[in-house]
Amino acid sequence: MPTCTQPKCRIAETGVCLEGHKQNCPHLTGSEASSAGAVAAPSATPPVSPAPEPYRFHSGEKLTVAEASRIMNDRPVRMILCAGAQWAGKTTFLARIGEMFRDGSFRKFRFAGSKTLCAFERATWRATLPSGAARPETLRSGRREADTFLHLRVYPSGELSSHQDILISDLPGEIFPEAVALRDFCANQRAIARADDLVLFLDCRSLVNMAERHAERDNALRFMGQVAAVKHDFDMLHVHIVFSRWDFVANHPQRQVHEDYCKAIETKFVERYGKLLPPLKFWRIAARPDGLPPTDDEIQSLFCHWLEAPQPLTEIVTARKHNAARDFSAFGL
Amino acid sequence: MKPDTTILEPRWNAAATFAEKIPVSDICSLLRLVLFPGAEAEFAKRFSVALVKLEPTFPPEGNAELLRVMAAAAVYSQMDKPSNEADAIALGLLAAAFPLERIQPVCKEVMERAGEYLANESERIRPAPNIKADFQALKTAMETEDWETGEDATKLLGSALVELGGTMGRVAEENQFLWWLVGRQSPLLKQRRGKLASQDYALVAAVEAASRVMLLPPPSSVESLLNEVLAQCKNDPDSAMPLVETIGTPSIDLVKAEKAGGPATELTPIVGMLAVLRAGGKADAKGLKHLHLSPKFKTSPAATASQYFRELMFLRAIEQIS
Repeated sequence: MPTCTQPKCRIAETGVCLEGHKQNCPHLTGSEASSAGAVAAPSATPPVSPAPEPYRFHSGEKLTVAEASRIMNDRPVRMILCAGAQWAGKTTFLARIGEMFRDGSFRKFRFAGSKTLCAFERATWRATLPSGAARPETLRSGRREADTFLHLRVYPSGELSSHQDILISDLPGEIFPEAVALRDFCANQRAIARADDLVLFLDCRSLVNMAERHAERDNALRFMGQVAAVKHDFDMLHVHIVFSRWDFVANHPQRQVHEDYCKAIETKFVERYGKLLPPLKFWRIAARPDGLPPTDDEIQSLFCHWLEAPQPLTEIVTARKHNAARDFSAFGL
Repeated sequence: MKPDTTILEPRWNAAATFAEKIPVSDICSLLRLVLFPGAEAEFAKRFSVALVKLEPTFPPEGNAELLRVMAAAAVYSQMDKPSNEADAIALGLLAAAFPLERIQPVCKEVMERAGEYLANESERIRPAPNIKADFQALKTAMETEDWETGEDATKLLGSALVELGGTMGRVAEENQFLWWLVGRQSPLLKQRRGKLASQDYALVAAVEAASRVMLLPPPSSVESLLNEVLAQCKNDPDSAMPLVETIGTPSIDLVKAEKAGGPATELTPIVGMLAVLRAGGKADAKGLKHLHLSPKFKTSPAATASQYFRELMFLRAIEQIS
């Protein structure tokens, strides 16, 4: 293939001249140039550097699996999966995190960038004054948004150089019943396969309703069962059980009854998964409660936990044989 | 995140091919790349170029984390079969994991494999000879016609001799350790252990143990023997104290003289700390930053001794293949 002295010309790769010459291009070099009918090239042509890798601009919307993979190829990333029934407040919780970074109220971490600013903006738009909405709301995630990712880059306050990247997948509530019912569906979700942290939302509006609360609890437990079945490194998964929209419990006339029920759910999760997983964490969150301030401290603690929780590493244990051939080899066993 | 099964095998093969011809200097770089994110920028560049040549679909840019995965694959593939390089790699992984939170291996399985490799290999190279079977094989070979002209009997005799040599080495090693334990005295400090504080003796004990190892990798029981030896000291070797205090004990000069440092301080934190002190530096936050160690880190003299022993073994393995 001919080569060209023009830095941006990709004739060597594509065969198409940058300036549209069909033949006799004055910039072609080497023997190939003469074969292409070029005029005599200078004898000592400078070496041509390869075309730089094209810079990829992001749309600002949620990242696809391929885009997320590209980031993960480049640097360590913490992957968070938020799951729960429709209206459980997953997107509102994520929108609130975005808002806190935007208004600078996040204490331990500072915002260092995001490739999905539009997606964050879209989630919070209906909660802003310019949107004209009568009351703060959040645009729900649709079915198509399964296996798409929000991106955040943060750094610990005062440590500008230690950036940490997070990808957050928000499993749409619309497809949560499928995830609960179908193991194959869960097996095909990349976010489940790769998640470091699972944030499982239990909607307190359902939990205070005697007719709905058992289904809410059972679905959460069944979903955990599906994740355990399809995730190969399940024992490394950090699980956070979030009692979301906590204002429904806090403002309820029979508050104590519902709090006790939440405690019973906690016990159930600990009994079933306490020994299989890193310590389970339970949170009570209201990201956009009616007539109350949001539980920002709790949300921030949960966020910090994603980044600060120690990675489960097991001490190297040399697997020694108890029936060693010699006493010397068995010493210390 | 989206594993394409068709590329997994070529990628693994590329990593394994790279690891087959790896020079000693690059073994340490490879280990650092696996264990410490952002380490070894220059080596990572070379590694990337080599991988692209071996496996053209490997992304040439924006691949820092992927390179760490490939480095882990290279390291893992090296530990598939016994070799001096594999010994060095497994001992290096073991040495660097102190404290455990200091390292961030990109694939945790590589650490488990190191432990498994060392346990198997340390026993494999210390065989219990099957003298009867060896003799029978030799006898059978000598019963054939014209056995004098063939090489079978000679080979069998040679391998029996090599095996016997290995056994002698193993027995000598075991004897050395047992007399060291029974003697209740530090040969280097020339004092009864009962009069020594465990923190004063910890590093010296590791040096004494290392000098008694005749074959690499060392026997798995040595660390238990170290604990036993330290238990002969006048105080509890399992009580936690700041590591810098153990490192700065009166016997430090003896240890400094014993070992002049190693090639990979990030992989050998105690050797690294000793190097800082030897250079006249302080074991404070600034002085220890490059080792990813906090001066407040607490551990027991027994754990310090085991760790220093691991580091000495790693450095010897590196020396052996240099």
